[in-house]
Amino acid sequence: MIKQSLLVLILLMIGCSKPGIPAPEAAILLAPDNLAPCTTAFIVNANQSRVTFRWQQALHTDTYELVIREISSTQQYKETTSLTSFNKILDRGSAYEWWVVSLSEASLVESQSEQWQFYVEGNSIAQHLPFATQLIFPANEATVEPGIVIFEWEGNDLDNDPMNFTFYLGTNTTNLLPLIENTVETTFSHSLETGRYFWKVVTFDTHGNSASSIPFILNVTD
Amino acid sequence: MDNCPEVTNPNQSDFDADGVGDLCDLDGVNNFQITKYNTTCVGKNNGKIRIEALAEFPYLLNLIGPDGLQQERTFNNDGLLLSNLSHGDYSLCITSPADTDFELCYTASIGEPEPFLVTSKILAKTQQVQLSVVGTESYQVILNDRFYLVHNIKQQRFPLEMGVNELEVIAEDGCEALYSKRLYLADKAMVYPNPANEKAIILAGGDYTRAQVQVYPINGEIVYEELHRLDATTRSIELDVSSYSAGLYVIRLIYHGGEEILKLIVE
Repeated sequence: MIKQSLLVLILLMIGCSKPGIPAPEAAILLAPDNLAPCTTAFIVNANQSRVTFRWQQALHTDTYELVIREISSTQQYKETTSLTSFNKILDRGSAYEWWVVSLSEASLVESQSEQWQFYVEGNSIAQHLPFATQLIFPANEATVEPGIVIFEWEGNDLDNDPMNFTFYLGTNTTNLLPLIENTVETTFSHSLETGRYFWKVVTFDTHGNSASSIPFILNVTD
Repeated sequence: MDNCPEVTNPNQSDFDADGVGDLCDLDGVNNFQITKYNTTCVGKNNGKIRIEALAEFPYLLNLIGPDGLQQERTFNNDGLLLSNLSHGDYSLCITSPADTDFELCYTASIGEPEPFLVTSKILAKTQQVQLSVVGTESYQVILNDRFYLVHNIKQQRFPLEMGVNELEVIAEDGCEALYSKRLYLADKAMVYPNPANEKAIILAGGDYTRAQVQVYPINGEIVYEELHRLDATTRSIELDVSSYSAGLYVIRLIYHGGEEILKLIVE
């Protein structure tokens, strides 16, 4: 009797196993939210956060493969779990794409979830503004003869950013005109007739920050 | 001679060598050290500007920022911290009642991270691709040489052609593709370029997720066999044929529910 039932059972198992193996279904993703522009997650240290990935249980699935790709570097991480969540420590201030592959020991078919993207909040990026441009020559309130005047200045920036300069000249502090813009040079030659002039130089760093100088007076007389 | 007679400045430092010590040099080039901090996320107004002053004077800051922001703030050599700032350009002009001629102006550009996030999904039934985009208000979509400009819509569907579809998403003011994908929508597989000499790309039809790929020269022994996983949108498998001798090859794709044969000429 026992032998008979066992035989029936074995026959049933053989009967069921081949044609009807159900394929694992694609997992439905839950978190982090798709297109989340500011996933705070759990801040582990200054540079890393622990992100909890969660998805819904998929039918006919034994294990899940979680794939996480950092978008800018295209570095990819693959993690395997039989659970429906996974904690992963990721660099802050980066965007990621992720998806889950449902796998089954009984089936060759595997199913991939949607691909979602999110951004992990990073630290605030700090930059120094350049220092006020230092005007070197001619000295403030200097007097020179008409003709070519060579102006000289110096920029300073604590971040050692590359610097560009714009040189302004005019006869009134309120109407200074840029005579040369965004130059990397720290000198500028210009021919001047007699008169009283004001000049200043603005330093620009590469992050959109700038610093002016105080205006210097230049007297041009014969 | 004391370069700063009314203030104690033990090391007599004078950064700009103008004979006036840093601690009393109102217009010294390093009198103001200004640091700006970007916001940490889109829409978070947590940008900051910190002003530090070396010389002991009363100062007045005139701040002009985005969205009509205008503020006057007094400070001294203890410094000043401006916080809760949104991203944008700020103009800072510093004057002092101690010298009415004195004015120094700066601009600080507070940035914000701009993660440009895009996801795409093929809707096979309606023969469309559904694009979801964040990180920009407007963007351009180039799909099979057709051009779409999208404003303020996070999710939008675009018609696909059968076969290969070239998709690019570009920020409105940019020219660099921030997202590009070759989508394949077809019942049958294809291989290109054909003839190939370095690499060939196999595009799998249907929606099966894995395929066993076998390659053999016509009338020859198998030269390649590998199980490949297939992306739901790109459907692509890269095949390195650089080491293959020239001739006609057969590519056999075996997948759940069927198989397909492709022919490839290797030069």
